[in-house]
Amino acid sequence: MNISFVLNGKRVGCDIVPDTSLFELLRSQGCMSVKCGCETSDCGLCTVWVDGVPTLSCSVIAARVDGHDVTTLEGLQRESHAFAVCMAEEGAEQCGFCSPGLIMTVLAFERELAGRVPTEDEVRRYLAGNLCRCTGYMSQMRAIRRYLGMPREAAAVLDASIEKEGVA
Amino acid sequence: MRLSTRPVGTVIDLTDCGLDAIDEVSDDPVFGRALRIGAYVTLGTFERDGRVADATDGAASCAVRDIVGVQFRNLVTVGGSVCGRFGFSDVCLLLLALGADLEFVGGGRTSIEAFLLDTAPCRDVLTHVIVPACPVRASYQAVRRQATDFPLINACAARTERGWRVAVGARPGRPRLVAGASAGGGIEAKPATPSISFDPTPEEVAAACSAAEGLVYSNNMLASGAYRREVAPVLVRRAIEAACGAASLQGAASAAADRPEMGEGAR
Ligand SMILES: Cc1cc2nc3c(=O)[nH]c(=O)nc-3n(C[C@H](O)[C@H](O)[C@H](O)COP(=O)(O)OP(=O)(O)OC[C@H]3O[C@@H](n4cnc5c(N)ncnc54)[C@H](O)[C@@H]3O)c2cc1C
Ligand code: FES
Ligand code: FES
Repeated sequence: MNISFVLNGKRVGCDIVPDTSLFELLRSQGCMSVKCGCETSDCGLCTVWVDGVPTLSCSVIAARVDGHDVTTLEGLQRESHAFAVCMAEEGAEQCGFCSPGLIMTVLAFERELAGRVPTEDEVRRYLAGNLCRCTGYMSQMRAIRRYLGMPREAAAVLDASIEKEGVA
Repeated sequence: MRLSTRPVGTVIDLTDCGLDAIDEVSDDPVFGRALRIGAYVTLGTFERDGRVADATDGAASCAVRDIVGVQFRNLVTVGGSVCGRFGFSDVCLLLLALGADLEFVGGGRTSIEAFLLDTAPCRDVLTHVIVPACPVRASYQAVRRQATDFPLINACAARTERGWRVAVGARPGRPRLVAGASAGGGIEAKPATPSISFDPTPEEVAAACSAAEGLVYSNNMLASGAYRREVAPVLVRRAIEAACGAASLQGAASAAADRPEMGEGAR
């Protein structure tokens, strides 16, 4: 079947088999940032935006995006730069496999916040669907706090000192 | 579909059917003022909508906010959650406690309790879930082993001008009413459940708890039936207390002795 949609600002037309997932379609279009980390719609690694809304590309049938607008990390190079710097400086990547999905979710959250500084609890809730096998989330949380201009709360300072000094 | 190898002959995409809106109406034939929630409304929209928050006393967002993650809830729908009739469904449980009605193409209108009691496969397309938009006090309670995991037991209590309705789900069978009357538009729940007066007496709360204890529970990978039977009455009591405000439930709170130690999502 033929579908046509806007991918990262450019109109794309393709002929797909009906059961193609959006994840498969995006990879075939060269969007290698989009990763698949689970078979159960749980991990968030495949997060892309459909009409600006963060969505799991592994769980969308590609035919559904006909006529819609899809954004992957490839289309957000400039917008993602500042957060990528925070992640690098806070050591928020180990294998890095989960990073594109995390960045897509954090940038969507930032847009929803429209300049408001979120609470720690809001961040945790918004990111509950982004799993990471490597970092233990502390370094990611540091990068997010810094990027979103959140205060380094007592808990954050404690996290850092535990990480630095270890727990006796 | 993603998890099975079952061939699917036909897939019907409801994306452009205009079923992704929530409308407030004042002339619903059963409820008068009501919210008509399109079957294609995502759980994300349902969670964030202010009118849904008002019509559920905030219980809607409590019920769905631990379902996997934001991206997942932006994808799955109210209609898919209802028609799946999953036993653990936080959405079915909430709608049962609120006394919602369902509207199907061909199948007409039915109450959610009738739909949940029906074991025949659903062959009609659901278009709307109809929730009364009247003043309500409600509380949703669940126990999850981990945040965003499936609930291993859940309960929801709602008090509207039509009276109380209290339901228990994730038994792991489908949600069942343990107190309150049918909201109409369908068959009555069987067996008959105890009723609770506007300001519940300790005896009425105890009757709802023992109705919860009397439901059928079984084992699955999340919890044993015995554990569920222990915890369900506690959640029912908490839900009623939280919904009406502990102060107006004189004496009843003192009976809430045993509290499960597992993490919970509570309002
Ligand atoms: C990993 C995972 C974790 C989950 N955790 C929870 C949880 O903790 N709590 C919870 O409540 N739920 C949970 N769910 C269920 C989830 O919230 C959705 O309800 C479920 O995945 C259905 O999604 P969907 O809307 O895409 O429906 P679909 O998968 O598209 O549909 C489900 C069924 O309903 C039918 N259907 C869909 N729409 C209609 C309609 N309008 N009319 C008639 N039939 C229809 C379909 O044919 C299908 O049989 C979880 C699901 C997954 C995959
Ligand atoms: S690949 Fe894990 S949620 Fe999509
Ligand atoms: S850094 Fe390896 S999965 Fe997150």
